[in-house]
Amino acid sequence: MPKVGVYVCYCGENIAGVVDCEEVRAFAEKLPGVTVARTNLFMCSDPGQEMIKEDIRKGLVDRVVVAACTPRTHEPIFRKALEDAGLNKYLIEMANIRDQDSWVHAFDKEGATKKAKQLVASAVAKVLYAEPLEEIEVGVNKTAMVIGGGVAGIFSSLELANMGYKVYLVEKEPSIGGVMAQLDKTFPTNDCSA
Amino acid sequence: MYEGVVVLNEKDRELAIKTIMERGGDGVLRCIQCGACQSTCPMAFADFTLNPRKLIRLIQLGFLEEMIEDSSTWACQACNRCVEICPRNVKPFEIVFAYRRYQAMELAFSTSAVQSQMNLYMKGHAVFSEAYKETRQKVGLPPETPTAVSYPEALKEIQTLIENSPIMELGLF
Amino acid sequence: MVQVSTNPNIELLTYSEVESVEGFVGNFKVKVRKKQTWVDWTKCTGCGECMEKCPVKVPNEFNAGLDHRPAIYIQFPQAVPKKAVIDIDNCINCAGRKFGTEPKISKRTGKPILAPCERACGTGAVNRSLNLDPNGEIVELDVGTIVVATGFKVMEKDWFKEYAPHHPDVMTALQFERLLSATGPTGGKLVRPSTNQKPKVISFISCVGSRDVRYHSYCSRVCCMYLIKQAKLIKSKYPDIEIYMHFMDVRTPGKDFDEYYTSAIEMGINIVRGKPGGIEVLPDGRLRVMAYDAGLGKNVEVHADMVILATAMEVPESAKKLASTLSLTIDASGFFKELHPKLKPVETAVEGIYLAGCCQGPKDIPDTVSQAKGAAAVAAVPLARGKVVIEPTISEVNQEKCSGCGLCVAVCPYNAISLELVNDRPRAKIAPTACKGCGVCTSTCPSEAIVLHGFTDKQIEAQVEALTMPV
Repeated sequence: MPKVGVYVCYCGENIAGVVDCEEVRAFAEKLPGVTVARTNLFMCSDPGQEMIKEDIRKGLVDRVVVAACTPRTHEPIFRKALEDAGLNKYLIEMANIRDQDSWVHAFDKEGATKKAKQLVASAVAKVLYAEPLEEIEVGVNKTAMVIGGGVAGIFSSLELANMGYKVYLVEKEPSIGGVMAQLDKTFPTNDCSA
Repeated sequence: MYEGVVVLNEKDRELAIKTIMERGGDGVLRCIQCGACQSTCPMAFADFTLNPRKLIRLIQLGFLEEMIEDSSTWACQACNRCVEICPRNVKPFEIVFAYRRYQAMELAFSTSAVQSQMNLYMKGHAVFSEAYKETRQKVGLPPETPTAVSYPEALKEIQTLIENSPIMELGLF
Repeated sequence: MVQVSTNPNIELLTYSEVESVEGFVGNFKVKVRKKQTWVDWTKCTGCGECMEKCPVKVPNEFNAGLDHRPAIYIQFPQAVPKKAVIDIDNCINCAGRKFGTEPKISKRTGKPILAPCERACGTGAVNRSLNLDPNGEIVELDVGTIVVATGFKVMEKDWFKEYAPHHPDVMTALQFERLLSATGPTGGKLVRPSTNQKPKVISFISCVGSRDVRYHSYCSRVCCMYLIKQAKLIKSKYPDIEIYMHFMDVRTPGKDFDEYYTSAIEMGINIVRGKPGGIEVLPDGRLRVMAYDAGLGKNVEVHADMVILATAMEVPESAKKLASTLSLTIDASGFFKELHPKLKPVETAVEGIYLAGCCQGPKDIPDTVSQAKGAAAVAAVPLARGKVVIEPTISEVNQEKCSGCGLCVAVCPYNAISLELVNDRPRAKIAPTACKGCGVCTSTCPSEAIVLHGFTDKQIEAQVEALTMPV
């Protein structure tokens, strides 16, 4: 039987201001498969991550649920924590109780707490069946393309080219330059734009 | 209108904004005081003390009763240039009219406004003058216009509408 | 610009547009259409002789419509590359010389009758006997990362009926920029278009189409500063010209920007805080700017010879098409959306595609250059690393269960699935580098032969069950 650790984040006031995180923690603790349930003011902080790593190292948990914010920005951080503690980094699930809960139900604390519990229960159920996965590495074509030959495209191309990469600069007009080429002088130094 | 230094406070502000919003001026908080409405407003051309921009600013800061005796709002020609030009969808004309409704319910309106309401009720025209009869006859037209003035049953309909509107609460007729 | 053309690592593909992009970070396959230039660029020297001879006159885009250009033209004198193209939609095929036809022979001289552009060209770059493909040519390129820097366009003045847009002395700031420029239609001489005389009074109006919910709710960010720039340039050159600048607010939050504004005031440029409500043409042809001054709290008027409108920066129509070609997301204003407004300002939802400049939102040149250099750095990361990691949360076929029906091949939006023969039987196979893990094949497969790793049926069923339990 997998041992799931549930880590409920306060996100300062972002989550805790609406969701009763301690109640969610107590609920999570009783879920099947859950061995540890903890809270922290900021789970993504060093002490928060250390808490997770410590539980993994002690053998208390081998599956992790972080009930916090969006995996879009924060899943890589927690995956790294799992990896550091010697666990396959795909044995984690995030329950987004901030963006999908406390932020959208700010005026319904009771309902938000209930929804947080459901999201946590769902994440725990999913992580129980998670399998270790390995990333796939592929080679890279060391060439870049820049679409648009205005001031932005010109500077991107030059920097990439100066780093030694081949750059294709695609421009729909007959000449590069874009709107910048139409300008007489440019602020705040009044130097010319060509 | 208002004198000396005014201490701004939330209570007056809430009341002023609520009063105007309830009466149709729902864009009052969207105004950023750019002044485009004032620059096209006939009220402002004629230098009335109030114009849409100034009225909106006063309401935004919590002034409501302070301008009640000001008759500027009754100079609004309902031309809607302010609505056309407003970059923030404030609909300044609606706010002027919302303030007029507030003034009307407090019986604070100019005598000319009373006269036009009476005209509307009695003749079916807000702006009504006996003088035109002669002009019409001179060019060979019947003295009465072919409007509610000539049709008692149409006038009756207008009166029924007015009798069933909030204006009757003022007891003008 | 010249640096670009001389850099050996940069290959310029001008007069070209991206047709399609397939693949993923590190391994994009891009089809680029090189539009038909109708001029042989290997022979064209950019001398401009053809432009002198072409009889066609069409509004010159480069001078914002203030003057005309011929149908065969070099975009502007400093063009890079300096090559001519023929605007074939406006070409009138002089001497009956449609492309791909043989010239008539003159009875008088016995020589072929050529079109003026052909005759003018000393290098044979214009040859109308050639049967050129009007669609140009498609080139296929393999690239690792892509930076999108497609920029913006300026709103036309015609939208603003209240500001007398039909009047030649009312112009957009970009038109005015061309009028001030040494390479512009007057060679940099400041004149009123209606009279060709030097103007005495000029009004500038900011926030025209910006911060205006009828058009664009956003601030275009550069207008305050470029209006001040134009006003300062005029005032320092012609101190006798009266200048009035109408601002809703003055926004100068940049390094050395507010000092720039202050110096404009000290030069004698008049700042009027308030948005003008209209422009009327006076009987003497001048423009009556009906304005308001916030400090005064009163209506004011300027009788101006010229009015300059700071029309908003907006997304060009072509950006929408590019967004769908590249699968980029766009924001409420139509600009390309960055992955995160603070932490991932140049990244997009598509890994390996990055944003720079005004296609991501209005910005000035200093910010554009910063962002462009940032985008270059981020776009170089996968190239420098030499490898990319693919998330294993993708689909995989269990070929023992697969019946080879091919339903998954048809539904896959990324063309990641193909059928291969295994012991003479067709079996589905998923290319891991093309799969994005959307799961459409998994739910379509009638044999339950496809598993989406990280989102197995078992996991999803368990989630649904947990969500429906009372708490």
